[in-house]
Amino acid sequence: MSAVVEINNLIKDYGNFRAVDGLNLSIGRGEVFGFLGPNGAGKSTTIRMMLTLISPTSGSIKFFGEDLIHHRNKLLAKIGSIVEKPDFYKFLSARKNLELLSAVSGGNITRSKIDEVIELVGLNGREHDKVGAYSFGMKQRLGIAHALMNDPELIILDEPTTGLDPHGIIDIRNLITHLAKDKGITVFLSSHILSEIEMIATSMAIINKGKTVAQGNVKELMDAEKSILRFTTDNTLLCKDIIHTKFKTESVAVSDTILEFSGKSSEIPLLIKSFSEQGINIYEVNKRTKLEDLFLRLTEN
Amino acid sequence: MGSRIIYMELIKVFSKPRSYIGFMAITVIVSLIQLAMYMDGLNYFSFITGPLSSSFSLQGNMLSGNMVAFVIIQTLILQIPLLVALVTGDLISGESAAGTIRLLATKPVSRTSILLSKFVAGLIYTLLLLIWLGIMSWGLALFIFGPGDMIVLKSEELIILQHQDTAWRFFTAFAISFVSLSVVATFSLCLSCFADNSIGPIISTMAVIILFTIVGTLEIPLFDVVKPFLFTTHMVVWRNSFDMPVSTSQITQSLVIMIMHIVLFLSVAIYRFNKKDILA
Repeated sequence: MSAVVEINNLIKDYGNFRAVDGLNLSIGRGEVFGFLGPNGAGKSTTIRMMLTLISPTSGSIKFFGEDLIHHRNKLLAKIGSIVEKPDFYKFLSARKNLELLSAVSGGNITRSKIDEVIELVGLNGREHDKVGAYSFGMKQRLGIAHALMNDPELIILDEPTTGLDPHGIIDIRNLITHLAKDKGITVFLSSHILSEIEMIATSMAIINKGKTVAQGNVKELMDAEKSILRFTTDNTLLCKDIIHTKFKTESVAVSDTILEFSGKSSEIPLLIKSFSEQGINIYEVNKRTKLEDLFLRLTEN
Repeated sequence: MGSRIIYMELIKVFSKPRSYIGFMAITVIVSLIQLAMYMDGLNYFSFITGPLSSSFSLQGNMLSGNMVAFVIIQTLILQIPLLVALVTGDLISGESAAGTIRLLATKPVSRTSILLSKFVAGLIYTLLLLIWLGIMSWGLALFIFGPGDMIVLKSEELIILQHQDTAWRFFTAFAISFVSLSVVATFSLCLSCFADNSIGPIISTMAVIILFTIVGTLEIPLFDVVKPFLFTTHMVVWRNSFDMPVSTSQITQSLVIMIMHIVLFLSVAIYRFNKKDILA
């Protein structure tokens, strides 16, 4: 079965600047695909090319095995999207926005479908308010409702949880998981929130300077990385000795009170016990996520 | 699909407060002129016909509704294009500025369809604005001043039109004006495809109209070569509807040239909009 998204050697030049440099991606059906990269890495440019907002300099984009350029309208009818900010017609209500946009979204979007997506994102009761009066978080919810109203087979979401409160973030995270698991919808998720990708993505790619620097199954990619354990203590020198003696690992003192070393989560209780036995006070223990390490290592330049 | 997109565009146009500026401006300006004419119209009329009093004896209802409407339309003809451009210059650039262009351009409809629907919506807006001008100028003037003959003063002649001979001329003048304003609407729509804010296209449209009008007015041999190709030269051809006899060949020629301008501007707009990278 062909991939839902297949991008081959995609290039976008702006004059002498190459924003996307031979990007290759392949995403299967029902996957939640995390698309990561630092600012200016080419994420938004890639998404804009996927949605025909800008033309590629060269390369190809295929959805459901068909070329985007030749089957644009047919393919876009199967895609829902949020690109960067969720901008809508401020002088119209949320419902009117969705009703008007349904006229050009392909398929037959009924009023009940609009009711359904409004309720799904928790905007019921506020759907008749003008969008101009909406908070950013409410616009983000409306953006998700808009992306879902044409029953898409693929959803492309660019930073969908930006501006949402913690409840909103959890709601959207659960919604994405539900759409992928229960409805078989493929989700292309661009985000700066690494923990979000770590929690919900099944596969991912990290791009830097327009190139793919890592791609694959999230679990497999992260298993290859060790965690960084960080201790805040009142005696980093003694801690270093203990770590060196008991765990045969070198540690790095980040400051007078902070010590970092590469280790496993399972070692934390034993470390704390060893430190306590030597009368060392531990004020805080942090474990930096593996994805953060992977991301930082691959994009540090 | 086509009618649904046009409907969508019309809803957007008429949901924006700026779309009513034109209607309000026409209402206020025309009402003021009507009031001024009602209060002091005879003096105004005596002033403009003063040079003729030594040669002609003018009798009857000089200040007829037809006469007042003609004066109003002639006075407003430079302002109406601004009111049109205020809306049509915003059709694409306004969406770019607001970011909503992304909503449209990621839909399963071609960019050409989007642009053509905006073009049609712009023409409908222009038509409604013109109809409102007709109601406020001609309709209201007939109601206030009553019907009557009208005098058309031209640089080389004086034309007196009987009341029963005026209605078709006004309708013809409005029809020609619609084509003229459609050129302005298409031109500003075209400029709108090159900008990401609506101020640029609106000001540029007016700047071009003013520049072309100046070039068309100056009697310099160099400009005589380009004058026939300037759309502003043909925008005033509505006045020919009040000639005696009406020069249909001249009106037809101007209409053809203006329609060619519409086709040209629309083609450039379609090309540009299709090629445009949407970065907003």
